[in-house]
Amino acid sequence: MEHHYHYPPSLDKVNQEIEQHLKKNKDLAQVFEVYKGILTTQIKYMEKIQISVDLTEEEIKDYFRKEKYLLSDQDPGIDAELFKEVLDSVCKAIKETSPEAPDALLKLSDAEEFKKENLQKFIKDISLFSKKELEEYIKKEGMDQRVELDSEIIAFAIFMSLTPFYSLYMKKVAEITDFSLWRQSFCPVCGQTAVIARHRSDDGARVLECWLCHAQWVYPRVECPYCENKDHKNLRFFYVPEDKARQVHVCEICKKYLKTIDSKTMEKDSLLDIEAIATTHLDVLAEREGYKPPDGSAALN
Amino acid sequence: MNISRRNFLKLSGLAALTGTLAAKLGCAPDEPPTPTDPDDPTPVVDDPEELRVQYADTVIQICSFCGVGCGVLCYVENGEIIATEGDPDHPISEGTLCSKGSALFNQYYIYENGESTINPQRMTKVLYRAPRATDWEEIDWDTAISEIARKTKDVRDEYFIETNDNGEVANRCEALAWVGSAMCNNEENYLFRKFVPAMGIVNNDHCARL
Repeated sequence: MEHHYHYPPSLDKVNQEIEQHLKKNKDLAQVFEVYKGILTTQIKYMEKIQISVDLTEEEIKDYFRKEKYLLSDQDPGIDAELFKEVLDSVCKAIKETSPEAPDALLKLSDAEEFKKENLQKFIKDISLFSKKELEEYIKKEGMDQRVELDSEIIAFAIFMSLTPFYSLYMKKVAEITDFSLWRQSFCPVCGQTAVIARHRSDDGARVLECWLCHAQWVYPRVECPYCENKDHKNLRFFYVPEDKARQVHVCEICKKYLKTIDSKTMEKDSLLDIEAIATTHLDVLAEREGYKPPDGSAALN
Repeated sequence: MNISRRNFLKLSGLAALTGTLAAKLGCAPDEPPTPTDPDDPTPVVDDPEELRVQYADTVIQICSFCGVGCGVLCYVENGEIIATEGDPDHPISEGTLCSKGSALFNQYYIYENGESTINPQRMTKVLYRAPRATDWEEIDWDTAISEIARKTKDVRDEYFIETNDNGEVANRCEALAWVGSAMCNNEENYLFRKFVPAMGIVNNDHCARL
């Protein structure tokens, strides 16, 4: 059974892992500073946020059996004012750790959408969006023009501010039941598509992790999570010869890829958020090799 | 690893911090990208040799040692098995292997004079040796299975005993024997047990090692 109490990670572990990566690639120093700034803010608010799950074990399992993720119609009860506070802090953390970031970030929380009377509706409207959908929504509503920020920046700040709420909801769910009934490419809790996985160090099982709420669930090793292709002749993986533990598993049918950390080879279970940042060269290589990132989320449409 | 890219990728999750978002936030790991050319998204790599990639396949197999039938994942590179490990998704073994199964990889090679070579005696095709012949010949599975079925039926028909010496119904064939395999699982053995009396076979044994 996969436990779900791994999030948030301790800052000591985060620092240790970052230190290891920086030995190999100093260029990532500032990116990791931004990540740490955001994570510290998220951890701070996770101690303040109150979230409850109004479902029984059997009701949750029923969602999973129907291949329906929980927040598709459950309301996590996000406190609008607290969300605005988190957003403000996340934006400040980004600006502090990356001074070249646009000054407009510091005024993002002043936008019309985050005013008290609009916030609850806005959160409800956007809570099920994938990254791409949220960016399109921001453009469609002209929010990017009004706050003078790129839609990708706005979407990222919003997602990073939703993480503490969704992660706490995920942890509450995991206290009621595990996710062993779930066999999808998208998250059983918030529906976001998994973009990174690891092979668990103790038994080698493939564990997908949600980048938004950090739920983890097991998915068969020899099967494409995105198109369910099970033919091993059309599934393979590649790696840079110097680093066998960091792999890219590709499907020749749908041409999508999943970055995967082989914890058995690495002899430890590393933090996937940090690995996602540190393995950006694998995204470049995957694109060069003709594969597409598993962006978007059919499940959310 | 140093990578410079004309175009940063648009990525999801925290990885976005190294993609187009990084450039927009001013924390890009490399120099800011030059204007994007949508017609040429090919990344430029500083050191192509460093970024050479090795492909591998994962093939699902069953351990050949005993009747438990544990699942094994074989990793294949350039047509050769480079590693094996327990299959975590196998319902029986759930990723575990015994000491023999863990050493399965070594069955693939022979070790002589400090060197390992792929065992040339490893069976990969059906081999047939005709009666009184000295050499083996390769045949396909369909031919082999048809031949086995034909000979089994012929022997059974020739030696089938409908009644014994007292004139009582016997319906048996003593000229055939059935030896089960230690590789077979419970469900397969159930089917064998149904098949054996249906054929009239009374000499039925197995070679289980558990």
